[in-house]
Formats: sequence, C-alpha cells, structure tokens
Amino acid sequence: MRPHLAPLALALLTFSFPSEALGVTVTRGPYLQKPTTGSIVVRWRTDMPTDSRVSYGTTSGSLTSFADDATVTTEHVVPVSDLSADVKYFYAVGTTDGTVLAGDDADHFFRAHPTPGVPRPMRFWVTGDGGFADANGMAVRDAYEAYNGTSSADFWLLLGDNAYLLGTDANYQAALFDMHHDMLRNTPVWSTYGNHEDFSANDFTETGPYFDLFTFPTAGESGGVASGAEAYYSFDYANVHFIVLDSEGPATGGGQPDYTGPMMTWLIADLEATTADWVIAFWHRPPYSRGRLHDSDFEGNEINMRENVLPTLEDYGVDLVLTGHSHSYERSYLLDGHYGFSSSFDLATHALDSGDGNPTGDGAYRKSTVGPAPHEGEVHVVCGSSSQVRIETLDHPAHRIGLLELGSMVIDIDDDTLDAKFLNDEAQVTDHFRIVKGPPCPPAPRTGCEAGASGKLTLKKHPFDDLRDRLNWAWQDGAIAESEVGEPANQTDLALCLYDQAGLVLGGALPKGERWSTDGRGNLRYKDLSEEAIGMQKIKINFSQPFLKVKGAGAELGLPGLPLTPPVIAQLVQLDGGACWESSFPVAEANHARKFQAELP
Amino acid sequence: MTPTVAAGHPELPVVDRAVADLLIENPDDADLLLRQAQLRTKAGNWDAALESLDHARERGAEPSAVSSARAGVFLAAGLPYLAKYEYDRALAERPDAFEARFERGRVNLALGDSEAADRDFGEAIARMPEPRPEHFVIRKNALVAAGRIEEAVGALDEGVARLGHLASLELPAIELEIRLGRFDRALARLDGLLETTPTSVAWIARRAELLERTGRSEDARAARLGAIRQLEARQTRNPNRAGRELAERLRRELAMSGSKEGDTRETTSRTPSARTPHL
Repeated sequence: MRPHLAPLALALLTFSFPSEALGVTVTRGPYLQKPTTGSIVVRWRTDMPTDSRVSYGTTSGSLTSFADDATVTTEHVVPVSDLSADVKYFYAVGTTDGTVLAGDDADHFFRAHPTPGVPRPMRFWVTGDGGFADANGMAVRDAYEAYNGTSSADFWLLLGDNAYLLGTDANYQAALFDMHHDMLRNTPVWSTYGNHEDFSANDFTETGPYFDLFTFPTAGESGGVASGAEAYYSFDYANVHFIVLDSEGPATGGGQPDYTGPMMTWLIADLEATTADWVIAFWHRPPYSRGRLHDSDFEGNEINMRENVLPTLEDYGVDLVLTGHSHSYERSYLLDGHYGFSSSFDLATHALDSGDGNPTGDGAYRKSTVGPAPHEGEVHVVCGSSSQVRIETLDHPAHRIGLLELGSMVIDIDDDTLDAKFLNDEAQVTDHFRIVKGPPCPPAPRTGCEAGASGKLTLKKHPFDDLRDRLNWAWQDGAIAESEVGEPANQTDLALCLYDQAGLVLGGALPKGERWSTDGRGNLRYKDLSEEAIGMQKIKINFSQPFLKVKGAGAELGLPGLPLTPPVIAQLVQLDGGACWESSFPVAEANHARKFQAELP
Repeated sequence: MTPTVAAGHPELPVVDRAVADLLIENPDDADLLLRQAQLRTKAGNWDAALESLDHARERGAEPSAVSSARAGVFLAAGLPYLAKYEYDRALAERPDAFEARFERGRVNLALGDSEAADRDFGEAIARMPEPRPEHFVIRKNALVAAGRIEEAVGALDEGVARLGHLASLELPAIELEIRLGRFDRALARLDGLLETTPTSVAWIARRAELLERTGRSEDARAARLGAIRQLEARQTRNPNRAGRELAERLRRELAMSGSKEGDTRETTSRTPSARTPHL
C-alpha cells in the first residue's frame, strides 16, 4: 500500500509524459491487487517516471474506459472502479498520452469479485515458502500451469516467505515478479507476512518492501470487518470468507506478542460478522508441524498461534487453515480442540474424522452445518515446499499425511464442496482431500436410489411422550452390494432420511465406528440402545439375501407431528460414494395423529 | 524488563550464515549489515549485533538508524537505560524519526516514566503518515496503567479520527466509557460499529445490556428482540450452537427484565417449529 515514491517520483510534474519517445519500460507487473465487487487495483513499475493510465473494456482490443493518475512516478498504483461484479475486463497499462506500455491483449485481464455470499465455482492456487527464484520454484510453477491448462485461477494465495532470503525488493523482483510474470497479470494475489519478510519489513509499522509492494484492504473494502492494517485483514470471494493473520508477532514491534491486542479484537469482530458458507484462514507459522528446523512444539510463534488464536477460530467455525514455514507438505485429519504440544494429541479426542478425507479413499470430511458453526472441525495444511524441500521428520500426530515433495496446492470450491489437492513439481496430485458441508439429508429426496420392491414403514407418535415414539423401516427385493455400502465400522458415512410430500421429515448421519459390526457372513449390524444418533437403535443390512431393516425410537428421532402427506420416502444414503436405497410409499394404510403405516407392494 | 526470549528461532543461524556469505561478496553493504544486526538481535546474539552495527556505521549507515538499531539491541537484551540513551541520540539527529520516538515511548514506559512515554507516543503518532491500530492501543494501555482513563479514551478517539470506526479501537473505548459510567457514549460508539456491521448479533446483544444499564428497558427489550430475530433468520441457514446459546441467553434476559408475559411467549414461539427435522 505504501510505495516509496520519493526517490524517483516527481510529484509536481503532472504534464502528459512522452513515455514512448523516451523508451519507458515496464520492469514489474502489471499485477492485480485488492479486488472488490466493483473495483481492483492495478500496479506496475517502470524504469522511468511517468504518469499512469489503465485502459480497460470487456472486449479485447476495445479498451474504451480508463483510469488515470497524474502523479509522475515509477511505482504505479491505479485503482479501477465502477466495475461490474464477476465480469471479465481486458486491460492495458500506460500513460495518459495514450501510450500502451503493456497489455491490450488476451492475457491481460481482471475480474471484480463476485457477489459475496452467493456460491460460485472457484479455483485458487496456494504456494508457501516459494521464495527461491530457482529451478525448484520454476518446476512448481510449471507443474501448476500444466495441471491448470489454459484457464486461470480466480486468485492466488501466498503463505509467506515469498522472496528469499531477506524479503527485499530485489528478492521479490526475482522470486515473484520475474518468476510469475504471466500469472500476475491476470490473477489477483493475496499474501500473508512470513518470517523472511520480517527481515526487511516491519509488521508493526507496516514499512518495508512487503508493505510497499502489496496493496491489501484495511477498511473492509473486499469484504469482512475493517482491520485498519495490512498485516492482517480479510476478504470475501463468493460464499467464502478468507482471513489473513500475522503470525510474526503479532505486530507488536519490539514488544512481546500480544494476543489480546487489535489483531485479536478485530479477528473476533470479523468472525462474528461473517455469514459466509466457508471460512478459510491463512498465516505463515503452522500450529502443527514437525520439522528439523521448524517444530511446533518448540517455536514460540507456532505455539502462540495454536494456543491463542486457534481456539477463537474454532469457536467460530473455521473450515481450513493454510500455513507454510516448514519446507514440506503436511496435512491433518479433520481436527478440533487440540491446543497443546504434540504429546497431548489424542486421535480419538481431537480428530473428528480420522480418515483420509479423500473421496476416492475412505470418504470426504463432512461438516453438517453450511456456514460458520463452532467446533465442527477444520483441516490444517502446511504447504511450505513451493521452492524447497527440507528433510523433515513429518511425524506430528495431528497430521494424516506428510510429503517431502516440491509442490503447491490447487483448491476448488463449488457451493458446499471443497476439494484441495497437493500438486507436486511433476504435476501429480499426491494428496487430495474433500470437505463437504451441509446436513446429510438435503431438503428433497435424492434421485436415482435403488428401490426395494417390498418394504414397510411404521411410525408411531406418542401424544405427549417423545421417548415412546417409534420408527420401523424394512426394505427388500432390491440390490444392495457390500462394496456400495462401504465400511461404516471404519470410515464410510451413511445417513438415514425420511421425506413426505412437503419435504424432509426426519433424518441425519449415522455415526461410523464401533456401533457398526459385521456378522459371520459379512452382513452389517448397527446397535445403539442409547439411541443417541437420530434415535437409531438397530440397523441390519444383509447382502446375501438383500434386505435392510431399521429400528429407531425416542426423542432423538425428532419425529414430528403426524399425519404425513404421501408419498413418503425412506432412504439410506452412502454419503461418500452417493449410492442410496429407498422405499417410496405412495399411499398409507394408516395415517393419523398417532400412527403412519405403509407397505409395498 | 526481561530480555526478549530468543528461543524458537532455529532458522536464524542458517540465515545468519547466508547473510555472512552475502557480506563476503558485498563487504561494504551497510544496509545488509543493518539487517545482519537485526537478525542477530532476534537470535539473542547481542554482542555480534552491536559488532554488525559498528561495521554498518563505518560503512556509511545513517547514524540515527544505527543508534535506533543499537537501542533495539539493548531493549531486547533487557537494558532499557542504554536503549533510552541510544534513542535519545537517534532522535537528536532525526527528530522526525517517528518509529524511534514511539519505541522510546515504550522504553520510557518500561522505566516507569509514563508521562514521557505518553508524550513520545503522542508525538510519534502525530508524525506517522499511516499509524496502525496498535499504536493507539499501546498508548491507551499506557494511559490506563497510569490511571488516566479519560485521556486513554481520547487516545482511542484520535485513532478513530484517523483510521475510522475500527472494532479494535471502538471496543476498548466502549469498555473505558463503561468504566467512566458514560453509558450513552458507549452506546453511541456501539451504534457506530453496528452501522458498519449490522449483522453482528453479539454487538446487538451488548447494546441491549448497555440500554438496560441506562434504564432504557423498553429499548433494551427491542434490541434483544431484534437480535433474536436476526439469530433465528441466520439459524435457518446456519444453525449453530453459539447462535442457539446466544438466543437462549437473550430470551433469559428478556424474561428477567420483567417483560410482559405475552411478549415473552411471542419470542419463544419463534423458535424452530416442531416440524423442523432433527438433524
């Protein structure tokens, strides 16, 4: 935000500058900063001072609008406003005399952000510790370009240590602006402050190269609550809220870190205010990491972030935490509530889902609430190998996977589904996890379920005592394969859902794990006499002579008032693979305030 | 004043060696020597840091920058008197060096001279082209510690004037206004925050508490009802425990505030209907 204008700027020279005649060259950028739903900041550097113009339009070759700045400078920072949300604009940069210095082609374009809160498919690229301007960094960049093809990411997140060794302007020129020139001209970049930035910049005064060369929102311009700082801020993109924190202090200058100060006050206010479907936080120092140089049991900043910041984020329902610092890739289970040293990590307690989160493995991680909901779990990723791999032990127990591979992350979010992939420097996906948000039973029945030709459903509603409510459902004469149902005793997520014509009547997830067992013939049994999960007592799934029997009771059923409005549909759903089995009852034999009963055929 | 603990920087020696290599190639790079001193300060290697600064001065580094960096070394080493001496030198050479002035304010605070500290903080902030919330909050904290609550509010107000209605400034100001018994002013600040973030149910709930304390029970009741309605609207899409708990608390407060029986029932009836699936 604060370019050093003084050395080269000739602020009083506001006449139109004959830039072409003088052979002005763009030496940095153009690059895109601080997009909002109606504006974006275009920045570039020239070798000689000129005034500034951004020409733009929705058709390449017809850039009929422009934004000017008469200040004569080498550091050009031009806000472009009055844009339409999520519309693609082509642009060029140059001078007010009409000289084009760069752009006006198919590769120079930007988009204002889409409308906050409205889901829109998005892809963003994530690199951490990508600050070595060498063959490693190039390999990671090229792998991403090979994977991504001709499309551009919607934006790019930098997890800090973006320019080695000292985060100087020259370091940034080599590692960011020269290395990623093609991407920067059409992909807005957001960043967090790393320890190597701290060698040249000061996050307390927000001075130095890092703060000179980036423009981040301080007044909530891109969504979220105004932070008044560029070291920490937030922004919205469609239905996702991003929070950027400063893990290098935070921001106390020569003092000890203050986790009750402005950053935390702002963070709580920001979390309080967001209603986005997803909350993603990123900063540099990982709360969980085990490396030779960086160990979250020993480094103070990591410990501080874990102990002081993570509980707040979990209270407000963060979904994903991205960090760097360790030059490796480490990725956690779906976690909640672990703020201590690695020795205190207990898989059964702190992993809400101890699976791999891979949709082609043992299934996605699931969070039942769309939007911020406390303590439903988040995944932590240390993505710090974007230009160097350091020999690490990678044995932090909070992590499901650790890789000593160069690489970056590609993250796609489409409405309620987040897919995160680690892409190594050979363009191979070597880790993939998915988080799906939302109730296991959608408002309307799923389609395409395997129907049982025979079936029976009985619901009994006690007039005043929910504990005596009953549900019995039998399904048979259809196909049900063991491979489709999966392994609920281990990782497979199943749900039971009941609908009538008006929509969802009752339902929810059936907990995987020890309630499930297998009999001697490979058939599945579920037993929970405490009826804790949606009132289910017993479930039998037979594969040899296919049938399905469900028995539930009690208040946890959540059985609403009867009668129901047929057709009434009962479904068992395998949430990971999508297979489902149903009985659809078009008419009822009994349907009054105390009882619903229907039978097939 | 305890020295800044250098633990937790195992990478610093690695970087230090790399910087030393760079200095072999560029032995007269005063700026690099200043960075080396900064690194060594972070690593707790005070003597080496001072040595780097001597070399930087010999190679033409700006004297005030060297003095400020030396002050930083002494401050980190837990030697505030020496730090103050160096900041005094730096500021004698460059009175406009607002970063050094602010840091000297902290040193003065550590030395127990809260008046001098506040003077430095105030002058430094006034000279800063773009101060941050932290600067105002640090000054506020110093004033509060000295029992100068009214002036502490003023310090935060100065921040609001320059940076806008930031939660990080207004929320501590609200706390101080309450300490001073100025509930109307606290309310006005909260209303200002709510203009920027009208969806913050926690702030609405806080507003109701303040209204109650000013004796405006009906307004408090209305604020709580409004908050409950917002919560319920939000719960339809994003049901969560925090929202449920806050709604329950607001309903309890409504009941305790002596509201009419019928009205309480009205709010209770807005809870999700029995038809809501048990998910």
